[in-house]
Amino acid sequence: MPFVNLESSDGDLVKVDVDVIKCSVTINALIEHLGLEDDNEVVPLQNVGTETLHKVLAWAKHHKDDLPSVDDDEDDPPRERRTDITTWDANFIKMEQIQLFDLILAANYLDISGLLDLGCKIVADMIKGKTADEIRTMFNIVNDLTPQEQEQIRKENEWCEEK
Amino acid sequence: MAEDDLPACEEVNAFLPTAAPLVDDSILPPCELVENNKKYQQEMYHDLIGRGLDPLSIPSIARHILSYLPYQELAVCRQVCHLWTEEATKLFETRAKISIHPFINLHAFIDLVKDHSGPWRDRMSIGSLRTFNIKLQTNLDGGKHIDKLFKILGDKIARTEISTEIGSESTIWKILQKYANQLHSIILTDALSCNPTRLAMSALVHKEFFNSGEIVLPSVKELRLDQTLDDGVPIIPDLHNPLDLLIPLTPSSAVQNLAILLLKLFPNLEVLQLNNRFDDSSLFVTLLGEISAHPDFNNPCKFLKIIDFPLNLNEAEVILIHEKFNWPLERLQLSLRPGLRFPALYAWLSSLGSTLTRLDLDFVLIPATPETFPCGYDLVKMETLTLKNYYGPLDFLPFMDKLESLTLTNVNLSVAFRDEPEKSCCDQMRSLQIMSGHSNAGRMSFAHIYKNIAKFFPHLRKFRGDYLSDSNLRILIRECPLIEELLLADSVITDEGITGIPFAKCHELQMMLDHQVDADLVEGASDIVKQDSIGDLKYLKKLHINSPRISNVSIFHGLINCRNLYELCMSSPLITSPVILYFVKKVNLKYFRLFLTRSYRITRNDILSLLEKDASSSPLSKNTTLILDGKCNACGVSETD
Repeated sequence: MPFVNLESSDGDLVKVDVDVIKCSVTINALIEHLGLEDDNEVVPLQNVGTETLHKVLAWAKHHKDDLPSVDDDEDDPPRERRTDITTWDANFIKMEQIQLFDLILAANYLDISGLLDLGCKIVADMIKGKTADEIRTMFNIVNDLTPQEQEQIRKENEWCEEK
Repeated sequence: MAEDDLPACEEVNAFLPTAAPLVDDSILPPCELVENNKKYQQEMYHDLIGRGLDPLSIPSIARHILSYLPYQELAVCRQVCHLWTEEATKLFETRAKISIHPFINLHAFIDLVKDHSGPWRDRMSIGSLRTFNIKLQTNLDGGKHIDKLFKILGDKIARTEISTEIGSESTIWKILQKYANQLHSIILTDALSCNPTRLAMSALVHKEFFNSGEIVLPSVKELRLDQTLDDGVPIIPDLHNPLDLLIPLTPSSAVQNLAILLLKLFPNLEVLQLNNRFDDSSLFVTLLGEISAHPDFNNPCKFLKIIDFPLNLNEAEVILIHEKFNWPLERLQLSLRPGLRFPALYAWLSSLGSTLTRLDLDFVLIPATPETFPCGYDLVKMETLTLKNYYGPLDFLPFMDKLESLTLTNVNLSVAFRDEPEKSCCDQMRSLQIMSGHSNAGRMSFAHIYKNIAKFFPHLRKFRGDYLSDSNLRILIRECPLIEELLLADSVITDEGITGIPFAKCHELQMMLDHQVDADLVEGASDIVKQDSIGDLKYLKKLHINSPRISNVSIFHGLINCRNLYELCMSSPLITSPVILYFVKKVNLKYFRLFLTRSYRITRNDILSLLEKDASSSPLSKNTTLILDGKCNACGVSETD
């Protein structure tokens, strides 16, 4: 079984089964482009910390036998995406917000769609039922909308507000 | 580890960003850098610098997160910050679509939307509705409610579909006027009125329209007129006398007026569909002639690329279109009636090679001896090809580099797939549909046809075919492993074909499964030897199969292994509910539609009791739809739980 060595931004080396990390489009492309066939070669991941990397690998290991995900029916107009999460994933993703964000960034960087989906679903769940102010506070987002813009958006929103 | 041991590491590093700011690193996939370092840096993240490490400020991630939210939540998210406003609004726009169905009057509709109840809710967008279908029976006239309607619709409507009704032309006119600069598609279809076309067209040529002087719909690219002609005469009033709507017109003046109307009102028209009554292609040729001859018309490339109704042209007309008008069509439907196969036609089709992407060719009558395809090496842009009643080889396919979808209806398959392909010839082909007809029903079962299909189209994703047998299904399973959609209507497939278990054993298993589904059976299932089971199609998503010989065995030992399946349509009298329920529960279905038709052995009570028993962990998840038709005993249960 071929292995690849991943180096986290903290400088730690992690030896990974290529089969496990093949879910990462980024690493897959690196392996294909550069032909990393020797077990001793190292892929430096300057943007993924050791802790996050281990999390990513745990997820990848659990999901390594998954088939490519099923796309939505093309006939239907784009709708709200499905938000089902398996029990394993739900337990896996229980973590602090900062870790969750690191994980999402890592999934984005490594281009692991399944993990990115999971992270984004969790964040979407956190957003549900909150007001704009609460969302900004929760995620520390700066309000860069002018009062006029806010008024305009509020007016446009009238049609779908609950009565 | 010494650096000497890692020659490739330097190579990797050479492509990775050097000491870039932290924010850049965190969002840059290195593979993209390997591809095109500089381009990526410039294009993808110059506007991200300074926004911090927060994934929520990266547009692609923000969009991804927001896509999981229902529309009410999206509305809230629009108020968070500029980036979110932008992304949430985009999502609204892609989701926005509204249809008003027949028998709902406008007044009721407005009330409905005002109350924000019912199925409209998640279709309503924030002033950004793009599609609007009006199919109203009454009450659209007089403009009484039109302002209310506009308020609901917002100002981004880009496509309307209008069914006309008596008295509604002024409303249609108002809608067109209101959205004159943004509509890109208009579909006028008739409803129940006696003379819908007259009304629809009178709306278009409403006198106010012409008196205003600015009577153009420049953004309209698509015009579809159903029931265009009444008794062969297009009801197009004379533009200069809009009040003379009721005066019958001669065909030629009507066509002339239609030409002027098209040119004046729709200067950028690309798609024209004139349905039903436009059988006489000479009218169409006259129309093209009128358009070409009109002084306002100067660029055929910009006008009318797609003709969406079957043409039935004679030689003189073909020569006229080809040599005189030189129309660069992208899509074309053509009927080749007997006697209409002449060199001019071949020259015309070949001349369309640089533009034509979709061609529907109906040969109408199959000749006594094989004929050659009327064009071939020239149609290099072809993406979708439909052949009806064709009797000849498919040796031109390798030249259609971009062809992805081929539909063969009543085509002589023995001749079509006779020769061994010289190479794996159509790598890009994704979809093959074979419809049977009176002349090829028997041939649908020839094994060599399927062997050759697999060789011709090694990367097939979608296959539709009739009268498939077990052995032919096996060939497909073995040779076309990438199949995602398998639509097998009227097949004679048995459990043996689906599961790969020998027939005798299938029979034995069927007796067992008919009685019970228990743990022992489940355990024993893994020991059974299978060869070329449908479970080998790892990517199978959609399966439609109609065969009276499929039983519980196919589900229990075959379909249960199709892990990606999300739409299953089955018609079989042999299936029982315990097996179905076991199947739905066992397969971890993310999104699933199950259609059971002619399933006499499934009773309503079976389904209901099983649903109740498992109420806590209902096998029918939120995304599962179970549909049972009227021929099923359990009809009336239509669960979307």
